[in-house]
Amino acid sequence: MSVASVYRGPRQPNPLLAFVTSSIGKKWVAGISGALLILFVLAHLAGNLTIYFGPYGEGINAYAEALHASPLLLWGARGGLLVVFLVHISTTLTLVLENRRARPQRYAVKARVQSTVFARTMALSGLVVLSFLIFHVLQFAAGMSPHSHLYDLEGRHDVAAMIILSFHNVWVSGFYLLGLLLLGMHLSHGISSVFQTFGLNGRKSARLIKHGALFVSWALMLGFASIPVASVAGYLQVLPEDRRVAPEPTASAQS
Amino acid sequence: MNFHLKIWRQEEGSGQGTFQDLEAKDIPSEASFLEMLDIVNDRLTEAGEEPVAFDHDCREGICGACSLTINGIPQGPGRGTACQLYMRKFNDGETIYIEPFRVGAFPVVKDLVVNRSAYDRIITAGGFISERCGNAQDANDTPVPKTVADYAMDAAACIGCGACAAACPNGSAMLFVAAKVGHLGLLPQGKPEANRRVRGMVAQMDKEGFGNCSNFYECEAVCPAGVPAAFIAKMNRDYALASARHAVEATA
Ligand code: HEM
Ligand code: SF4
Ligand code: FES
Repeated sequence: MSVASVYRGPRQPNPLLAFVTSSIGKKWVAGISGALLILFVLAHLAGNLTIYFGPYGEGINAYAEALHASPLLLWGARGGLLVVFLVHISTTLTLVLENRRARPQRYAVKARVQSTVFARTMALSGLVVLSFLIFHVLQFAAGMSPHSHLYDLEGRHDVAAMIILSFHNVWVSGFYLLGLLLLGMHLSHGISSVFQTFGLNGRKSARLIKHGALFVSWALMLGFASIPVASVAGYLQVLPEDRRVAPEPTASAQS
Repeated sequence: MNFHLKIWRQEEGSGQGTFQDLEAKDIPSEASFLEMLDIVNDRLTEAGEEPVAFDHDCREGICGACSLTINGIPQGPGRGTACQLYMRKFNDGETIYIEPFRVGAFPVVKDLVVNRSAYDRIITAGGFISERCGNAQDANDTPVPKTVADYAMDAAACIGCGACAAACPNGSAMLFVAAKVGHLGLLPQGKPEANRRVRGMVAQMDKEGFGNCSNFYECEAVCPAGVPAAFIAKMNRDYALASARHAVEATA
């Protein structure tokens, strides 16, 4: 039996495709990926702050061990994060290129009425953050730091020592602080932008969202920055060399 | 008052232009910006030179025809249109740059005149109400809460001048489109077509080659009608919801 086909008018493009390729749809993609990255940054900060537990930062060793307990979950999360980054970078750079094309001729007099420096430097801050992240991942996650192979009293990978000793190098802590500064700038516009993109920015809430976003961005950055500062200032101490035990050859806690 | 003007001159159809230096001497301080240009043009005509072409109509800030970028700011410094800007706002002897609106989708026709038909085509793509509303009704026949009416009125204030796109570093038309989508979509007469309207107008906006919104809010700062950028947020939401609805209906 055949069902009489109903004429639905001219062929329409796939609705989902039409949405994600539209100007507003691309902003939604940038906003959703950006919001996920903010959640990651929050979780990452919470993890980092465990370095303040224990006389020699053992808190973060325990945290790292727990993270590595399930390789499947860890690699799943890392893969997901990579996809989110790639989506964020490709959509935002597409937006930036399209925006350039939409205004081919510049004004002779450049005037700026109320846009912020943070808003106008999103591509720059994003790309510097990206270069910082590549260095950061190679150094701390891929084990390329010269301090990657230390173990604490319980035979765990001594993540705290790796971090603190790395930060004793002023170039490393300086680059870290620079990366944070640019991430702070990116988020200063990014967090409030997410509210606007998702349509949650009302006339009455706009001021609160703008100032709240600024506060949250820089509070996050201070949280991250406290660790290199505390390392250089000597507040965070490393387990003394003579108390270290050699790792058991079988139980390698490193990945 | 005396001014040193640097005015963009562009031959029709040439696609490129340059700044011309012109002296505007003995201008009354109560002259509007357009009246100052009239005086300059009279003198150019008397001297047998080509007067400067610029758009204007009502000269009372309600039609949206005037379109000058003055010292880098579309519609000039302060709230309001260029026709409602007075020369006393400037300093005696000041150098003033006058440029056309610079947006890829608004090609320059001649001198300071740009073609803003792209906005008309966006309106054609959904910025209307198909339902015949008939004659003026009795008051309160169609109840509209006061807060909604006021909010819709804030968007309805848009005069379609194009300053929003001209001020946007991305040449984005979002504030204009959001004003129309917001104004019509908030009121009972416009609600039935709200989803179709926002999808149609956004699609046309993209087709015209306007840029995307980066949430700079320069548009809001120059808009002579004071349309708030919160309408852009509302359109972002409306568009996503309308698209989701459309996707569900297309598969059902
Ligand atoms: C931890 C890293 C990052 C976080 C948390 C983040 C977050 C955000 C957020 C929340 C937004 C606002 C989206 C919106 O408008 O709704 C945004 C926008 C943007 N991001 Fe990122 N981002 C990160 C990394 C990057 C990187 C690596 C790039 C590299 C190109 C980048 C480029 C941009 C650009 C250009 C925009 C502005 C897009 C526009 O014009 O609307 N971001 N980001
Ligand atoms: S939103 Fe404001 S700036 Fe844009 S067209 Fe309407 S009146 Fe002009
Ligand atoms: S001429 Fe009508 S608004 Fe300026």
